[in-house]
Amino acid sequence: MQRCKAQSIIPHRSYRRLKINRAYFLTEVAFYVLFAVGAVYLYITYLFNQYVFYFKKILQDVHVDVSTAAVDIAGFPVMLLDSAFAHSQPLTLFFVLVGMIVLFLILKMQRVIPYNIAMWINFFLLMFMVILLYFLFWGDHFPYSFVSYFELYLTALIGMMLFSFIITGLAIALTPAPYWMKLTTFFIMVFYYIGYSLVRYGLAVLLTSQVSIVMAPIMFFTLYFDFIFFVSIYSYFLYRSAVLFKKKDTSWKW
Amino acid sequence: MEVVMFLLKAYLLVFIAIVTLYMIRHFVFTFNRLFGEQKLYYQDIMDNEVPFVTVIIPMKNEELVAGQILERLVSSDYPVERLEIIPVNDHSEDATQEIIEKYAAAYRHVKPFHRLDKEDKPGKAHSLNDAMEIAEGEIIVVFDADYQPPDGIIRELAIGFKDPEVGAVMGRVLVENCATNMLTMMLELERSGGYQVDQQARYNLDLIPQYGGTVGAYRKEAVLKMGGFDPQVLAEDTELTYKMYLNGWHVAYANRAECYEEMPENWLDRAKQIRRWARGHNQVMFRYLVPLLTSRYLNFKQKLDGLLLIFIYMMPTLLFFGILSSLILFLVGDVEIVAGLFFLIFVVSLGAFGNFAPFFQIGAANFIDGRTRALRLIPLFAFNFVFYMLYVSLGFWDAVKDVFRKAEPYWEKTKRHQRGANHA
Repeated sequence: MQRCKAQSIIPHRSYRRLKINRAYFLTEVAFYVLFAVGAVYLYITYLFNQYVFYFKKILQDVHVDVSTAAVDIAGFPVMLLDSAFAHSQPLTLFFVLVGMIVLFLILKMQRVIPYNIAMWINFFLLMFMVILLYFLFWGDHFPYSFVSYFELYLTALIGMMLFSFIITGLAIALTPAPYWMKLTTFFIMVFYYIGYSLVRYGLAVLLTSQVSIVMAPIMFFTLYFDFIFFVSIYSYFLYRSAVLFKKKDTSWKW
Repeated sequence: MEVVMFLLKAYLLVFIAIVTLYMIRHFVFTFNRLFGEQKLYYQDIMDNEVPFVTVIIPMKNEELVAGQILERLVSSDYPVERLEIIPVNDHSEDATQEIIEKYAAAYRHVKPFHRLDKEDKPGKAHSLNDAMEIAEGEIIVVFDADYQPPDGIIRELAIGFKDPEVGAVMGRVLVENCATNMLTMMLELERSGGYQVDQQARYNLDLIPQYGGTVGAYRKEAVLKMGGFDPQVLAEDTELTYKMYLNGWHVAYANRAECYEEMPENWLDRAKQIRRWARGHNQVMFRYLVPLLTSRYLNFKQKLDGLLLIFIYMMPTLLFFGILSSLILFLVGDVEIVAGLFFLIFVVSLGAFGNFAPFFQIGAANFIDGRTRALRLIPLFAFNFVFYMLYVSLGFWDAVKDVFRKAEPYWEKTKRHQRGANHA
């Protein structure tokens, strides 16, 4: 259909909005939320426990002394690996020195790397330095046993997982992309993060039991970095959707 | 000790509740902007009787940009007999005065106003107050000197005042130098989130769209009745927004009235700018929090939105204390109560603190704007939070000090680069 002049004036980005069927949108949101809840439920009740037994066997094969302990997380019985934290003052001192050197280098490099990124790195380095100094002077007062620390770790991880699945699911639902693309993105996020979080847990167990107890707070507070992964996947998905959507004036509503 | 731990936990829980409230608010905004009915501005009104408009451009040492904005304004399509342009030369020490005089000599409706006496206190609020005294227009349109008003924008801004309830109108700000570097690209994304979604959704939902101090207009009589601009307040724009609503007026948002501006091109300039904004915004918070909550002109949802808006520049300071609390609680073994939620403290850091837009809001806004490749930069906002946390908190601290200080606050203006010449 040939466009008249008025039509070419009206489609201005100021009042663009998306054509959407509210029922489809709500169904989609409900699907993502239910899938997220289901995935987290499956993770906590089955996958994690299976992984713990599997990982325990691997560790025992390489003569690492671990056992399992049952805890209750959000009302679900969960098996956790039980071992002992590695206490080593020289290693803590080594980490403090390395942290200070890195901090110093970053301060020197502030002209080269963007100021915001330098500040971000400095902030977390300073935070970890506080933690290291705590272990240097009050390490004996660390208030967690191996199991209680990982109970806390897993609680935070589950909260993070559920929140991330739901919030990115909502963000995906808000995006006008083909359904196959939306579902692929959502499933990639969910399955990748479930796999990644199991590996991360194994790594946290190894670092805290074989390297140093100072890794415990570091592994706990860096959980937040995982959210950047979700936002990265979302932004790439949005970029691909925007490319597909570009110049499709008929897809918009005014 | 137990009391301290209790207070830290209580603080953390309250902070997480506030963060969640902001998240919900911005999800509602994004949903509304993408799918809801858009409240159209008044640009479709066809009326030959347009109001007499005075355009005020406060300028201090603006030789790099003065020519470009004056050139654009004198070539505006607004009827010359209904327009006057007042460039206010506020103690400039460069060639600003000569540039203004050159335009005044060539165009009768350019009426320069030089504030050069030592008795004339410098500052935007003083400039606006003094210029309003000589302005003939019933409607005052304000542009900062680094803006590049396109054709038609004066009419678009002025036509909103056909509605007798509208006391101020705000247009949309776009970043002229967005392609300069990573910072300006990110500011462009952030600005888009703030205007395309946040402002428009607040306008759609009859909440509190914000007058931004530039690319905006207001009724002269209304502002004069309210006592003009207070030079003690650095965010005269935010103050005007609250004053308008507390006196029964409305602010209209004109999303199509787009105007380009220069944004800071390095982080230190941005730091000064955001610190000044935070200082001014928090000054307004200290002054208008109680009147906002007790206003008889505002309904519940407007009060709630006004409250969340007025608190925005306090959030980074609260975030800092939230991180500190979580660290202390973790090290003393008392963090269980918030373990499943504590990450929210860090997740909130992904919001850009200029407008506190979460990642999905920035994404949706830029999607509507038709951007593609820039969308891949969204995760980089995660690296900004320490920067914003520091400088916004410093601004908050400045505002606290201002409560006890009688002298007028001093501030440094943002450095100009005259990228507008390329745009023109």
